[in-house]
Amino acid sequence: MSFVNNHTKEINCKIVYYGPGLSGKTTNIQHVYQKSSGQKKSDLISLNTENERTLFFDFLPLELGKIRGFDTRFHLYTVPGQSFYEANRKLILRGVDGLVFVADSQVDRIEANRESLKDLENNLRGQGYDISKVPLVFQYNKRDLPNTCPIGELSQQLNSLKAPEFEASAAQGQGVFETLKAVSKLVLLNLKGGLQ
Amino acid sequence: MSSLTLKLESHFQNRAPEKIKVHRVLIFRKDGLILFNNNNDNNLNFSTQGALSTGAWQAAFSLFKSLEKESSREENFRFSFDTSSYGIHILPIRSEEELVYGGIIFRDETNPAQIKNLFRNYVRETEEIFINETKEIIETLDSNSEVQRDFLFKDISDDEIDKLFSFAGE
Repeated sequence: MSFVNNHTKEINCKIVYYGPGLSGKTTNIQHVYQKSSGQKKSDLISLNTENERTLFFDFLPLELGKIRGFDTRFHLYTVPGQSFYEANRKLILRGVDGLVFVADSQVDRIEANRESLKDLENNLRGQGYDISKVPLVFQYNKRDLPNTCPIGELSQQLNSLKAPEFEASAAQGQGVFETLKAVSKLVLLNLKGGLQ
Repeated sequence: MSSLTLKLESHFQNRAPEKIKVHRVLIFRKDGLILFNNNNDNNLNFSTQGALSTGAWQAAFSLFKSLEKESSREENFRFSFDTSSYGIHILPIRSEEELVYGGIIFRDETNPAQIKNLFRNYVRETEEIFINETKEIIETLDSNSEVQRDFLFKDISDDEIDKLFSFAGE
């Protein structure tokens, strides 16, 4: 999706939060939404089921201000984590510039994390992307819960790409912006020169 | 402002019927990015509308493809979601590189069919801009095109990123 316009000095990028159901993807961007204010505040759009599970996507446009003279705008999306919404996930990955894989740190969710990561790889491949070439950050969420895996084990199980990784308790807001800043930096460094 | 954007704005001002101009009009890419809207004061709101519009289009087309085994051409479709007085109408716009889309969100109309017909005519004329301006369209649509092979930033400091997200600490 990245859209760099040297005439208007404008950058638009798309970041997608991916991960298994109930790992905290929506909670991440809800926290970003709650912290944004003034001109940066925009509507958080959530297309949910009746019981607040993501059905299609959550969407938050973020106006971040200038970096080296460029107005920077990020579009944050989450995918629905539940396995039967695969078709929706494929649609949302179109034009992705950066990915946050939100893993659930709980011991009994390791297999769900691995399945979701495999699903991500396959869906990216189906659209001509190589996961190793897309800016990617891992977030090990729910660190505040009692039955969590050690970080080393999560990293070994999931992060064979050696991507940047962060601990988080998104419900408390911990680790949310550290993760977003990291993927944002990777995305901006990956941008090509734009319109001449 | 890019010449494409200027041409789309000029075309809208000069050629769009007045009955169209009073409603929200947007032209967007498949990924939801807005190429033109008729209300620049409210860009973030239009970003949301672009994301939702492309989502609606893609969901409808995917649903059709899953039911219909014969090959179907996306450019032959149109999307409508309306009542007898307000609604949404989305149409594909052909360009050399890939489809883009035109959408109108209308309300308080006594004759929505007329609005949709006027909008279809306007979109057909808009297609000429996209077909004639192939080079710029391709550059606009493809951020990895030949003219853009160099990275925009060679390095970015953590301080610069912190500044972008300074609102997080407020």
